[in-house]
Amino acid sequence: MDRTHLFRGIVIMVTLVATVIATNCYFVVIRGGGGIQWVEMLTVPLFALLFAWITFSFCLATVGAASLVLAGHRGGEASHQRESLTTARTAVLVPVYNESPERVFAGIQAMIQDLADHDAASAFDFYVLSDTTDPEVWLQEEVAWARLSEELGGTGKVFYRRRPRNVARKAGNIADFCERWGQGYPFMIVLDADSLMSASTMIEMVSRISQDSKIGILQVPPTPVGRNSLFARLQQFAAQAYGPIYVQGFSLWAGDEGNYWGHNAIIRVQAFLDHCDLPVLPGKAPLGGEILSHDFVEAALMLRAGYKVQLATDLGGSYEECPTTLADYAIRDQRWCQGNLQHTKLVAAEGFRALSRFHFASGVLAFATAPLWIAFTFLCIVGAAVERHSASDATTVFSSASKIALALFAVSMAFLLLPKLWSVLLVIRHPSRAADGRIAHALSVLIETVASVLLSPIMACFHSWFVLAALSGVNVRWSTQQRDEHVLTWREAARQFAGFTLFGITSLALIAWAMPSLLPWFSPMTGGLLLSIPIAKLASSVTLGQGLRAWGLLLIAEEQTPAQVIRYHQSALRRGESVRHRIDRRPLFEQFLLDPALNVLHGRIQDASNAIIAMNPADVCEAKAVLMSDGAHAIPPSLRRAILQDSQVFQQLHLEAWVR
Amino acid sequence: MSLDNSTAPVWTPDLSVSSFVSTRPPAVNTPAVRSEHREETLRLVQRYLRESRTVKADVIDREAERVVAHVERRLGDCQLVTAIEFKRSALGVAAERVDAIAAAVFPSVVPLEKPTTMAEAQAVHAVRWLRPGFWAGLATQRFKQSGITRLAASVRPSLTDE
Repeated sequence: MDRTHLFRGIVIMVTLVATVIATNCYFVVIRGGGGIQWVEMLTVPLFALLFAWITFSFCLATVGAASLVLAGHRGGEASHQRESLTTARTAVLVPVYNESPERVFAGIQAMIQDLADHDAASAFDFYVLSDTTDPEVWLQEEVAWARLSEELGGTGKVFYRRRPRNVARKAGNIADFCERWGQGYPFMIVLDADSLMSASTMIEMVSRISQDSKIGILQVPPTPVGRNSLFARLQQFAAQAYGPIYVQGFSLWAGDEGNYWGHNAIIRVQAFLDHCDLPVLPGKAPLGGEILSHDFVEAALMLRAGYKVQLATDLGGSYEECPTTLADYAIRDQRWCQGNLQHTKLVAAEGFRALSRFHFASGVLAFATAPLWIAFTFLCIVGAAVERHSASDATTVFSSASKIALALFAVSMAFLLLPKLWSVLLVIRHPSRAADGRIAHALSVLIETVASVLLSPIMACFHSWFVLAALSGVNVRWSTQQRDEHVLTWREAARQFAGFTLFGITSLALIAWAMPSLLPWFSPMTGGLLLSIPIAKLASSVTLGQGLRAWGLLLIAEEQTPAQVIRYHQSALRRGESVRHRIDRRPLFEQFLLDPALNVLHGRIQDASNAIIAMNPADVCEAKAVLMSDGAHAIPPSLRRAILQDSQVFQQLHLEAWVR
Repeated sequence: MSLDNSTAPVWTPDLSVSSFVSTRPPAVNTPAVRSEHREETLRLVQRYLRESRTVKADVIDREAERVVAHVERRLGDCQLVTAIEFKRSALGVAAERVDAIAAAVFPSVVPLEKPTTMAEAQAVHAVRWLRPGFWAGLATQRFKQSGITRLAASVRPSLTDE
């Protein structure tokens, strides 16, 4: 038995034994309160499942922390030279969907500059794979691509392709690349619109996958960086303080059967072409149909084909950005929730490896535990109330069962909170791991813990809502992630979180009526819900986030000493900002329709992308009539996308506008 | 992207403008009117080339003159062409000229394709023991294989047996 299997066996054994003991204790608790109510019986399986879930996470975190203490390293940028790079070219894919083009292209520019510093820019071709539907954003992408191509000169190659129809969303976008250009590249690095990767990490990824022909996917865990709101800085800190502990534990657990998170990973193209076409799930959306969370499935398909899926926990230099407000975070989670719930159909599907099934199941549980937790809490309150009104002897409250209940609560809290303590201990052992020093790190952990206690019930309510919506057949719209800093107004916060406050008041009233003595125990839950409006407002505050930064709190390494690629990105964004102030303020559609140079740019991109869709003749007549009578600005938005997709009509309208 | 092309290739106007010619009944123009159309069109083409930022400033007038002359030759008897058709045709030629110059200075939008197809995904089926009828089928199978059925078969052989 190899080390991974031994480790898996131990983790499973510990989780099972701890769960059996705890469930037994729980049974004693509910039996001790004057007999078992049927309501209480319902809570037993829920308790067992939820306890097993936190015990498993705790095991992974503890082993991960121990492993890091022994190793003493911190994921840094790989320190190798260009020699390790093979002669094979690597495609770097940046799929975009109505994202901010300035940010996307600034990121690409930064990565190319960093690669040029390592004398490796010629080994990587960047592809911006656009699925953008908003005509203005689409035209911004074209301008940004043209501008970047001009700035780069011969330094790096950036290609731009827009799909006229975004079939199968992001997975379809990547598949389209593979089918059209994949044969030209042995490997592809898949990024997200907000991803950044340092040159040394990209070179090392290529080197590792080249040296081991069995690696199908090599995932480098991304670190969230670059945001300033309090909520974002809390996530960034948590990801840097506790993320490595969990990731290390997960890596030890998974071994060569790891997972893929959809971006910041390198993939063997031929293996992907041969084995990773996504199946369509039986049944209708939202749980059937097209697969939304493609990454887990692609990893499982790669494993099924006999390839390794590895997690490079020793590599840093892999970055992403996180949502800046609670609501944006929830919007992203809703998409992930529906995607993960679809995996229930794959847990017991034929042909997958046991660990892939486990990954699918844990993805489902990541969201499904929230409604289970709420149901457990509710049933506990009801059970306690029923018991209270039927119990004749009041002394049962302070029986030995209460002591066991207290112990169970303490153990559960310890399993949830100890990984945070492991982070502090890790910093005490290896001070270089903390960007903010030992004391500030401990204080930051304390702040993050309080915040996470308050945010947990809100997120649990969100997740429960998403799960129920998905199960009741409500489909998720493919909405663009809000990536800019957006400070909520009080009105917005009240509108978004009034329901949560109401739920908090109802819960508080229910507990006060049913079992007043339990109020202190439920105060973190009810407190988070009652205060959800001010919490959401304060969490979105950039002033508060930056204030804590000035105090040296919640600091991450990249805020102290940003990597070169982050510095390049920031300066590219500043340059873009200065250019934006000089350009024409009219909508780009009008500018493209009237300006001969922009018109040519659009036509050439359309022709090259093979993306022309002939416009409906009736719409052409309508567009011409509007243009001739009222001008380009009067062309309705509903026609603009169709016009842009038919470059011949676009050219005709351009000439008509000039003749007019 | 800067479209200022200082090394623009020498242009020979041989581009089609037929798609811009109207089929409406032609108006008859006097020489004075024709001259007016020509001047207007020339100015329009000059402005178009200037705004395209592809043609060097010192050759814009000459290029515009060539565009208009080319359109005059193509359209033949200008007495039969309206001012607007004349302009449309001239702009069409100018636009093609701008596009031809841009082709020489534009970076490659996408590389040459090397088409292939992804191997088709296998359909998703639940594991055998979760499929409907699996357990019932298993029970039937076990019964068929049991000693009772074997015994029954030996006692009552098939009529087709030898």
